[in-house]
Amino acid sequence: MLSVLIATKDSEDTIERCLESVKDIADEIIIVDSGSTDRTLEIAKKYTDKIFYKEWINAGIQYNYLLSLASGDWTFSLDSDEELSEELKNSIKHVLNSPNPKDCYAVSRKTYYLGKFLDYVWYPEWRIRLAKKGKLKFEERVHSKAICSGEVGRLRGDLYHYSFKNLKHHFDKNIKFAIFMAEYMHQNNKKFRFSKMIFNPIWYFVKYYFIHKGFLDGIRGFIACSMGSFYVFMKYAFLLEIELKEKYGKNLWRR
Amino acid sequence: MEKINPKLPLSVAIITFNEEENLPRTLESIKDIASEIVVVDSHSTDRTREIAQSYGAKVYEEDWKGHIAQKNSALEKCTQPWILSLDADEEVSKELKNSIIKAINKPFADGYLVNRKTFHLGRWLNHAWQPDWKLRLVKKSANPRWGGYDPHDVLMIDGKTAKLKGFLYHYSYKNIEDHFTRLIKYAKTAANSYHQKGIKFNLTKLISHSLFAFIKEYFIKRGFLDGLPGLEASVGNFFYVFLKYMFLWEIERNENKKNPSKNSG
Repeated sequence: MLSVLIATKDSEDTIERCLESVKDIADEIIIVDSGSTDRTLEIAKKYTDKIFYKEWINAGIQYNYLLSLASGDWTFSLDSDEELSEELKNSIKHVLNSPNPKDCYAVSRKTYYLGKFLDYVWYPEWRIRLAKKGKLKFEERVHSKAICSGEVGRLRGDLYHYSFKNLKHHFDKNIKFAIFMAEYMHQNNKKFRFSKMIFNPIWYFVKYYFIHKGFLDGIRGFIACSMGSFYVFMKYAFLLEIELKEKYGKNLWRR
Repeated sequence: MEKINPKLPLSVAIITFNEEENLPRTLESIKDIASEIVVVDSHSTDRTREIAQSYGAKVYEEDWKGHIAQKNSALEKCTQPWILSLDADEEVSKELKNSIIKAINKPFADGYLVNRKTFHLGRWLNHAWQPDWKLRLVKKSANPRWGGYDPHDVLMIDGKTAKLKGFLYHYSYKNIEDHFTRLIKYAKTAANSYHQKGIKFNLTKLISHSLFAFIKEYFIKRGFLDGLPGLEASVGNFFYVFLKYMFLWEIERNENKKNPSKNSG
């Protein structure tokens, strides 16, 4: 029996596609929402009656809660802006019917960006999503990783990812996330360093555009790598601002 | 005895939206020289209009029509022979105020440019974003009007212009988030203007223009002497140009999607 686990928050644009892709293989669908004010829950109710509420702290906490609610002997965790490809669905079915499966399986996510899938940038990106009951745990922090206590296999077939509506949406999301990460770094005593502010953004671009061959994704690849590199710069800019604020107080932006 | 700082035949024109934090500083800096203050407000939800009135301003409430149209509307309402056009996040320095007094009492041009200096991340930027000459003090008879393209409005006159001494202080951003958020908004507006003017996206232009924007600010104008705030400002310029062309690409892509036959020809 397979439990599909989804965390939502104002996901009306993507949730239907997500649920459509899992409804055939899921024996139960569990949703934990953190206070949507749009049509998310109305749409979700068409697919499941197992909808719960939990205030958002971080993704790890949210998904561990989802794991605790699951009654299946297998769980598949996904985000509301993701969709299973047909090939991935078949791989999951195959694992569930196999005589001696591994404990956990990682899937590769493919991002839809400005009208096309990116074949190189951010791909493949292996993440553990399918797991036997009791074998998976999420780290309860920002950028939480899924930890499997057992053997990990890999599944064929992509997990489609639709996270950005348009360029402005992507950049605005990056600003918010950069602020969040800067605060997180500051709380964990990470200090601002000039060299990091300069070289980490450049390294990000080099890594994804050249090493991961993002250039083969054309102009989209170029834009995606640039946006990622801007994000890294902004993260350090915000960290700098936090440190300067402690020094200047109110006089940071006015005299 | 001669009266110090007499009021001048001067109207100050300001457009506002939710500027309660900035406006008092702006109005304080010109209240003893302006005979008339005209504020055109686009339905602020804070105390902006109340503050303007407390300085004796003539306050008008109008829908937002874009930077250029809104500023022209404020300009038209001014009745004095001279008009000083200010933004709500600006402040006239003492030295500039003295220059304005001299320029109006003994005019040597029909319009005057002022150098705007920005306070950024705890310090004045002396190199990055400098100099920033803007025509702001104009003779009403010289047919002043705002033009250019949104969001880059330019004040124009018929007649001779000259430069004034003293800085126009600029407290542009509330924080870095505000800087990035506004930069992307301006880039989007500028991309729309480019598209309307028929300018086409081109990757070479995107890369060269954005890199040049950075090099110009950081190395040629020596923004590095302004330390980290100078770097942040210069990278901001780079982002702005980069994003402008990216948005242009996005606009063209969306049009081709809607109208694929146009592309196949």
